[in-house]
Amino acid sequence: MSDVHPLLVARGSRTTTPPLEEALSALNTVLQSAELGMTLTGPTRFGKSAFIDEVEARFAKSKGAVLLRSTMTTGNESPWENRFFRRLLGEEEGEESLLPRQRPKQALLRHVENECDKFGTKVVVFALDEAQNLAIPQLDILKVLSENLLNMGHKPFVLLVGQPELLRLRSWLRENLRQDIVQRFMLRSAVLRGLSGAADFRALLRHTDAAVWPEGSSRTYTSHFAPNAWKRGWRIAQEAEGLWLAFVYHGLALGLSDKPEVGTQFVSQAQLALLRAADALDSAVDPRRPLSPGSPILRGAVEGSGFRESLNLGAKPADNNASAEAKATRRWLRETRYK
Amino acid sequence: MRGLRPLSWNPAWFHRGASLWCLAAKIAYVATSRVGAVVKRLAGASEDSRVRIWTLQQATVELAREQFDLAAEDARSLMLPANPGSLEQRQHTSLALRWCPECLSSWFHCVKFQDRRVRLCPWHRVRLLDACPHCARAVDPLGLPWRCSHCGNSLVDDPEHWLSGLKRPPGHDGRWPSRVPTSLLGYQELKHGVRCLPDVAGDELLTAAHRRGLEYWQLAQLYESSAALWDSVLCQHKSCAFKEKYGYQTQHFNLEFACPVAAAGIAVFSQMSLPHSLTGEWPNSRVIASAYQTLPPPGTVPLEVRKALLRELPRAWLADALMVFGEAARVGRTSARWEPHPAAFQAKALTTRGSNGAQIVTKRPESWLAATAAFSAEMCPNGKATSADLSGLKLLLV
Repeated sequence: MSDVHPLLVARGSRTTTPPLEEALSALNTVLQSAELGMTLTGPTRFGKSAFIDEVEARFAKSKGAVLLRSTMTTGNESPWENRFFRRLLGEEEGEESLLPRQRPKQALLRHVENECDKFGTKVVVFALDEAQNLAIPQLDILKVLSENLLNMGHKPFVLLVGQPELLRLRSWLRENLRQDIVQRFMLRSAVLRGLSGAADFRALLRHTDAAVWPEGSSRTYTSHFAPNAWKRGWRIAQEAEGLWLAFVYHGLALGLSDKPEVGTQFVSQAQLALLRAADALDSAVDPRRPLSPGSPILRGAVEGSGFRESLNLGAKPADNNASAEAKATRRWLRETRYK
Repeated sequence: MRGLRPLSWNPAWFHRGASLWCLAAKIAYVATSRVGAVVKRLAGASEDSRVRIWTLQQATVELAREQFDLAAEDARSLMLPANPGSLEQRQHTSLALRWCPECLSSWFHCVKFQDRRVRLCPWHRVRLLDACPHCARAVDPLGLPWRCSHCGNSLVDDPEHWLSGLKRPPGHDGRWPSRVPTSLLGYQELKHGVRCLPDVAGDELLTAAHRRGLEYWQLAQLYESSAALWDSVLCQHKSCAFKEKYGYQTQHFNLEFACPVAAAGIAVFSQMSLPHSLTGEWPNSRVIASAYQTLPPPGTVPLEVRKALLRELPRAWLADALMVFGEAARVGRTSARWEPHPAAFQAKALTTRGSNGAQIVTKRPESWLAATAAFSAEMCPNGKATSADLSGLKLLLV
């Protein structure tokens, strides 16, 4: 067991948010069809890798499919075919010297057969993270590999997870008469959306109130970081709406014209800042009265979450724009009738 | 499976009594890799420490328990009990693969087969093999799984489907008899000799596989004996051997040396065309004449007797060389020459009266070898003296 709290580790705390559930549902639907692959896209820090973690955990539990995951890189050192097969086996680049394989492709096929035998399934899912980095020859190899596995009686499935640029790759393939690859792996696509509403935020924050660490103890994440506030009955989930609105206001101030979609990891950062503020200043939070979206604590939490930086907007607005920000917020709320 | 990641493993591959090599070979087969690459990760065994595949190390047991999800007893049974530094224990462990062809056809190997005293498989009552049936060479356990490390031929027929083949039980319970019957043994160690139990005059057995089968087999036996000496009597001076100026081709020259113990090892083993410090080279040359001429002519003695003689030969030569280099170092010389001479090796095969054909091969007591090593080690510049009692030796020297 790690000595570091899961909230302090990237992807350390795992929970299923509504966007994640939607993506899982989409995958499940496609898996049950005869399709051999799908794409899942989403901006960075929206939880794509966490999605693969969740898929892996669910398959491991249900033994419904064998999942082999790997992260694609743009490296094309020779012999790249062998390196690609080794990557599909889940090996890191540096591990090559540890176990020289004579025939990496055969090793991959045998590995798949063995894992499927252990699970008692015929379904094997290759989850390729950062799939926008895939080169055409690699996609061709995936095509041949899936043919091999089909001939062996397996049901291969290639899950291409990547940045939105992956969809550009699909368009490029279509334009360049590589429909064979598109038809095989990219016909179905799903988008991993960000958290976009108080309900989504509440699902995430409720997990923080309920999850315990260390395992087997009675200490929840919230009570770990803000023990006094927890004793007084404060729960972070009560701040879900305020936190969401704080992100909305922040987005409006940054010039976003639409309701923002916030990556899970930004919300995690903001909630960590909120928990620390609640711990540092006991009176900052009140169990009977949620914080207002404009409160310094929530504003500070949102501004420190990295959300703004991810938008790549340039210089930070000056503080004297605060009234303009409030005006813009009120106008947007009126127009969208958002409460 | 973090430590093994991304190696494939299947709990159904384990059967009671299987060796660590057996499991590593299955993993290596799936990974299309060499067994050596797998056992390096599992047991830290490599070309210069092959004995680690076969002998027990607590860290490997813990790793095996964790990685293979084995009970403590099963994890310990993967390897032979370890007794580091003891020639008495080490000399019976074969580095080269020994296998029962029947067991191996079920992709099963028991670590007890590596005990050189055992001649027959207790489950199938067939002779254990220690050389490739195609080329008659000793099989390096770190090579490709179930293949000869020299000629590459398969030692077993490939199963129709490997997935079910690797899981197939060996057809016996894998429980090694607590007391191995004498009928299964090839020899027994006595205080002043080796009792070689009745055996075929198996030279034909070896030459049937290859016309040079006997030579290759003798080389392998010498290699085993020498490796055992490096791992026990000479183990503290292995590092000295690495520092010595000459490793090979010292047969015909004076050897400049710093450590007389390492020099003795180098001089003796180079006479047998063996690597001086066993840095991983698997023996593939032929036995040279000096070693070959001291042995009985082909077809005149049973295999077990020949094996005992080949075990005694390096010891006798080493004891002699240790005295030569030890004495040279004591008078301040930094170079000396040792060559085999008939008086250095006087082992004989005696037929015991009233027995059913067993023969005793005489040997010098192990304490003699330890004492010569200690005598020579006193002059080691690296201060790696051994703790053997020198009093008996001093009496002999007087």
